[in-house]
Amino acid sequence: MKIKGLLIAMIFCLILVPLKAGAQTALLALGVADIGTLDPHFANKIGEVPIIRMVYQSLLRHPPGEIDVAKLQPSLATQWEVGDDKLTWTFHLRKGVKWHEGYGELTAEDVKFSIDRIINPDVGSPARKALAAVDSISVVDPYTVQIKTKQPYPVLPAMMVEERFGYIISKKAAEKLDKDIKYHPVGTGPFMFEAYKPRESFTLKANPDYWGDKPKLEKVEVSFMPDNSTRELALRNGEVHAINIPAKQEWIDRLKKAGFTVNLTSPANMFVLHFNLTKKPMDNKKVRMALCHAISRDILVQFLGKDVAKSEVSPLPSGYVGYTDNVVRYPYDVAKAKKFLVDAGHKDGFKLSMNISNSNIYLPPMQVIQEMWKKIGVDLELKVVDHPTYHKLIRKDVNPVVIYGAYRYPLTGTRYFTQFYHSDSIVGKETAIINFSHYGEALPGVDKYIDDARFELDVTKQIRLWEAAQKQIVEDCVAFPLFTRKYAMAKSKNFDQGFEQKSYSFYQVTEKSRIK
Amino acid sequence: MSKTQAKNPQPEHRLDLLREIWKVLKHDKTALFGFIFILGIVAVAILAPIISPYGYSEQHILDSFQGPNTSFFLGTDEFGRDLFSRIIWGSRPALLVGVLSVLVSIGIGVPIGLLAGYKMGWVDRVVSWWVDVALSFPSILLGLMIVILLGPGIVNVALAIGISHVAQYVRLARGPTMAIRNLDFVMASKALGATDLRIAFGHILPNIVGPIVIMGTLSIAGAIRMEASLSFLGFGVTPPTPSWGNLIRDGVDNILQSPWMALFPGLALTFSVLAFNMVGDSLRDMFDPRAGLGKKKG
Amino acid sequence: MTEGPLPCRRRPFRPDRIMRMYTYAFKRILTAVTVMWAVASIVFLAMRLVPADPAMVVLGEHATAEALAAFREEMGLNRPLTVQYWEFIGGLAHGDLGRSLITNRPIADQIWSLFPYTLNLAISSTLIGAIIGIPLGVWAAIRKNTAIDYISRIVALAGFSFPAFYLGVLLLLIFSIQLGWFPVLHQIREGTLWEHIYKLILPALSLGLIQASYVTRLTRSSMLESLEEDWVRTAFAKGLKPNTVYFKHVLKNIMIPVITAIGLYMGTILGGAILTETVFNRPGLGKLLLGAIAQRDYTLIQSGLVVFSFIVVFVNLLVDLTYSLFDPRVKYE
Repeated sequence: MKIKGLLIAMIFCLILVPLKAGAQTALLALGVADIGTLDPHFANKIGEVPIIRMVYQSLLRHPPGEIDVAKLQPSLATQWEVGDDKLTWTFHLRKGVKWHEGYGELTAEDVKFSIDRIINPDVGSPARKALAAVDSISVVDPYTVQIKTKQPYPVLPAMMVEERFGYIISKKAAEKLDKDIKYHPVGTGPFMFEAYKPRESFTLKANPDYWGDKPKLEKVEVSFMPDNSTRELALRNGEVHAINIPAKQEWIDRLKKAGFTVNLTSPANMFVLHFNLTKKPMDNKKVRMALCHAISRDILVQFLGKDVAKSEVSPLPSGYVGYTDNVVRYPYDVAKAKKFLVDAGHKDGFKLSMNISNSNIYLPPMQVIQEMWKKIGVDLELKVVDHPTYHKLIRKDVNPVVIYGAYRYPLTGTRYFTQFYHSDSIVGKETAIINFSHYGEALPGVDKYIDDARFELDVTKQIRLWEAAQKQIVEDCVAFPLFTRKYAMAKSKNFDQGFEQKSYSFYQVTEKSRIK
Repeated sequence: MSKTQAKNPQPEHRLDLLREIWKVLKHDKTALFGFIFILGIVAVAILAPIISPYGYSEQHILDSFQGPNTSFFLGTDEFGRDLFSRIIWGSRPALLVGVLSVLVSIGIGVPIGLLAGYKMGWVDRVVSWWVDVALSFPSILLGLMIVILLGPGIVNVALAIGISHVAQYVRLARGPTMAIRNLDFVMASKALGATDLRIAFGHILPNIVGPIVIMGTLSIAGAIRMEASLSFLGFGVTPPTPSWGNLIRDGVDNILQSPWMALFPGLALTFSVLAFNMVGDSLRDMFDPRAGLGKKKG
Repeated sequence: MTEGPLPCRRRPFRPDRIMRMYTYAFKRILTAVTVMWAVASIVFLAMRLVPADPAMVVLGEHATAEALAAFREEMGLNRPLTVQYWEFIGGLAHGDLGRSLITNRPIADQIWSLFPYTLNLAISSTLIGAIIGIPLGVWAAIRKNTAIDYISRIVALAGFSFPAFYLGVLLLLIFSIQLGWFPVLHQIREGTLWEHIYKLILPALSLGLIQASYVTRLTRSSMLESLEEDWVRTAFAKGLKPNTVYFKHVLKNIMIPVITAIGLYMGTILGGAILTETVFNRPGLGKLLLGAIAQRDYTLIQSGLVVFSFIVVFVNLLVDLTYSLFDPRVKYE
């Protein structure tokens, strides 16, 4: 009698579970539990950016699937030019571009609203500092805007691209939706919002009024699957067309062998160990040198895989404008490392404790380093915390060593050096960014080179300054560049993007993409 | 919830506990087997540095994800670490957390239970209410919450597990205490001027040692399992220290690359828990032959 | 759970008894409510002690100080603790679980949409436990000290010892990866009723088999206890067939305590569901809670913990009340 009741209850519950019907759609799965925000001036996470790229657009753009400043293309703006003063930039907007969901036509007001929103400190967009050079923006007529910069700033067009500091949003939609814009994006792109199920999926449908070619796909469904194996199985079972995968050799080999297309993209994230010069014994250069000599970049690269990782010697990743490999090397040499430790007065090594993110981009390489340091008697304790806590803690200046992986668009020295090595960026300061080592304060640093290079119009001179900065940083041994690590993603052969994915952390879907 | 209080205390024959346990082991093959197995695990844990072929954190990057072979008995993980050695070393956190957490539970729970049962009145009401509150959290959730608060690490995990099982010991100690406090010999010593503390610890405690030992043995089994569960969820020991739970987790994370990785640490875990359960179960049968394992053990 | 004799006759209801039953029910409900309040308070406090900054969690690593301040203001995180506390408790009383810190969506919606998944898992595991456990327990009790009793004991012990999540991993390894009989992917995206059941089988088995060992033990000991009762002896003496005695009388008599105990295990099952859902990547309250922990979505962790505990308290209350209704021996203290 009881059991019958339970049975009925159970069948009732099964009915409660929604039964979905299938649809002709591109199905993507991303390794996140959920999205945090789809506000394009805020979002930067792996789960968010691919969605934003389908919905929002910018004045200019890179060719699909690439990041290349030299190949800027018109997007919402058809033409652009700089005035004789080198300060005033004029952008001519494309006519007849319609916002999704009947929010009218794109006008210069929207562009002004967007740029003002990014640089307004009260809004608090993390992209604000990237547009620090912008002085003001004005509407000339409904299809023309002018941006004035504080100093001559030749890279301005390169900032008006599909990045947090370049997306154009609808003034009307932003005012009407207010906070809801975080989960209900309204853009001009080929795909528009259809549905959002928290912790499950985000669905987009083709924009019937798209200004470019008619999108080939009817729908795009992005599922959130934080577990790596789950995503791989979903791909193998044909439940999804594309997934992001851990950038490790065995994943790549395995999926290639199973007949999937694997794409490895750059700009790769540059991983660097930052030594905190204010924490003992990191204040001692000999100790830092010992730690550097004890690390084998080759083993790290082997660990991650030759296809995804590449060892780096300079604090600026290879391939960036201004890069030089003419810096001091600290080759892997355990005996030398031990000798430095003895010289520093740590004959028996020492104990070190650091917080580390549980994210699989940080924890495994750090475990490899932990084992290497063990060989010279440095006993590193890894206190595993969740990813956001790690980011909070390293900004609170608690770690003696910080591992940090990043790339900075555009691929030049400016943002990289400013954020990691300028004394204004020291963590804990009012103007803090991510200078974890207190470089420029605990040691004289390279502020002068960075400041001079920032507004240097002569590219050759600028490159010289950046080279000098790199040499000095490595010479001072405040940061130890480890490797760059590409992003990895896999897709089934029947998913045709319409172009080749060379950059970004995940497959882009455009009007050209289709399922074969 | 108060239906279980009326357990029969046995003040009339104080047990020579060790002798009784020995008797059980002698007569009950299951218990003996379990006991020998426990001794085995303890030996493995103590001798880990000697018997494990490699260091638990020793990496062989070029030999990552090896299957079982002659140089790596049970294969290797992502870092090329020997799984056999890691499973051996994994016995240490398991035993440590198992024993430590039970000591924490007993150390906190029994005095509170004694106090509540002895004092009765409002103290008892407050304590009973708290016990109800604590028992309404599934213990894994309670453990999870505590470990989120304290942060990971072996001692914190032991504390979390220990604290999350305190209520059961409060309950265990309270019932018999209530029954014993009015018995003649307690009354007599009270009349002779013994302090409450002395009565509680000198007269009442020895009478409930039996059930505490049984429950303790079974709790160790539960605690080992819970440590593995928390480690599995990523809240356990810090790397590179191996624990059976995080070894299983590693295995599940790499289930498509090397399915065997999850298999072996799980066997070590299951058999260890089984051994403690065998002994605890037999002891329970001895003390209270009619009670099954019916009562909930988190 | 049961001590003392189990009578086979039920006492007739009497008005004063019904009155006392109401009083008991009222008191029991009152206790449950105070327990819920305490649980909610503890969880609330615990969440304030966690050493991470919710604003940073939400806005990400590059958030500016102004943005962080604005967010705290917006979410009311900088208000006095007491204000936040009463708002939380008041909300709970109205069934309002607040909004997720990360998604800013009503938490109640998320919990309700995932509740059926976890409930299905819990109920089907309980069913599997009962279907396997009760017959095995009865059998073992009837054939006490024979091979079958011994086997049932070993099975039960093994069941207690197997961590449910490891059993899940083993089932996954054998039936999904090696044999390919079941999907490895237990995420329920779309499908028919059958597909839902199909994807429920392995997770339900991994919890249900463990549950079965508890039920076996409990049934066996209850049955043994009953078999020693005078009235059972009398029944045998009267010449009733053993099977009639076992199944018509004794089994019927122990069903109430057994089912009660099964109900009380709900808390354990729900706790196990957290791990099982993780192993099988099945959506549900457990995954929701773990996801919230990973994301440090404090409001969601808070409400998730509270809802989990409320369910346990509620099930216990329900079981206790039902039990008191059916079992006349319960004294209404």
